Parts: sequence; structure tokens; C-alpha cells
Amino acid sequence: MGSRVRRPDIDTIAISGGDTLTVKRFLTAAEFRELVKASTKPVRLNAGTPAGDLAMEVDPTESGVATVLAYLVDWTFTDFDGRPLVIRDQPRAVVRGFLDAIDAESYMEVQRAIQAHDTAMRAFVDGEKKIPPGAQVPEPTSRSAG
Amino acid sequence: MRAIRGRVAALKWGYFDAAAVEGYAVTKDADGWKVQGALIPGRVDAFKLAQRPLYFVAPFKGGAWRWEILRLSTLDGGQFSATLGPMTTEDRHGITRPTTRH
Repeated sequence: MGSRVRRPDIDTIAISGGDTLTVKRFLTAAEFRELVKASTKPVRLNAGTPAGDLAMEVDPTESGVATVLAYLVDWTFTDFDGRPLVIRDQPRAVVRGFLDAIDAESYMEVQRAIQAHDTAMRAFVDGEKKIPPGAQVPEPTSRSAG
Repeated sequence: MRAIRGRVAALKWGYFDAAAVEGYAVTKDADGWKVQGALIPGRVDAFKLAQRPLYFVAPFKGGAWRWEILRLSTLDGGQFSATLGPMTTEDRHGITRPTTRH
């Protein structure tokens, strides 16, 4: 069996205006659990049932930003004075703050790009499972610019 | 001998923090760069710390200094020391370039 651990590779995604996003190629188990946790919200099954009768459902407003936060490592975005909006190595709350501050159209472009990357990487992982033991595994391809 | 002292740094494997550093001193002598410092308890990932290449990354305003760790020793009590490769300077976007402080 091959390694169950992946190197922390990054991909660069080119978006409009010459900007780029730097994203993790894959998520670790911990990052995936954090993504699932941040994408769901508790709902009570029936009114009047004990407090323990809760289920989790996907929170559509948070699942997109949770995916962005899971993958995004860096970007080239700047403020109106050209100063970089620094997100690299910043706490999650700081990155979330910048994601909330950029304009809605830019945010949706970031989210769409990262969701496409996530889809591509999941497809790659699914493809890997179909490769017979001992065969060469191809490199993943994302909408990467480098 | 030249020295760089600081409070916040990290031992990094790729974009991961393998360990967070609280207090460090980087020195350079005829044998090259070395660092000594303290790891923050609870913020040391043994798996990531065992991976290579590892880098010592010390941020400053607007960027970071980065060295590849050539040999790492961790001691009881959270202290560590390491011999380092050449210094590179990293801008806010993680782009590194050689430094004249080699």
C-alpha cells in the first residue's frame, strides 16, 4: 500500500485581474474534519423532544466559506492603496475577516475557484483508488497557474 | 559573529507549522547559521517535525527570514537547536529570494 500521507504541496490558481490564489493541493484529515464542522449546524429534530435529539445539517451560507478557509494559503489581493491584504500564516479569524471585507463579486470568484479546485482534487483521489497496486500514479491537475 | 534574536518563529514543513517557537537566537559564524530557542508546549506536531525538508521561519514586519534546517536537536524542557542552511528572505506572499546576509 502506498503512503497515506501527502506532502504539503500548493497550487496557484489564476483568477481575474491578474490576481492569484495559493491553495493547498489536498486537505489532511484534521483539515477535512474542520471543514465538515464549519459547514454544518445543529437542528432540533422535533419541537418538544429532549435537548439531546439534535441532528446536523449542511449550513449553505457557511459551507462555501469553510471550503475557502480550508484550502486558502495566500493571495495577491491588496487594499485601495496597494498594500497587501496579508493572510499567509494568519489566524483563521483574520483570514475570515478579510474574506468578509472584500467585495461580494470577488468573494464569489474566490469561492468558485476553490470549489472547482476541491472538485478536481476529489476526482483525482477517486481516480487514484481505481489504479491497480504497483501502477504509476499520475500528478493531479487543478486549474493551477503554476 | 552576527545574531538575530526574536520572540515569534516557527519550524515549518511546507505550509504547516511543525512547531511554534517562543524566543530564539540565530547566530552566524564561520561554520554557518545556527539557531537555539524554545518550542511552545502543545504546539509541537511530532509527525510534522519528523518530516523533511523543515524550515526555520522568523517573521518580521513585511516578510520573514527562512532557513532550511540541516540538523535539528530537541532537548527536554522544550529547548531546541539546529544548524541551518543559507538564509533567504521571504516577502508577504511567501516568495523567497537569496539574501546578501549569507
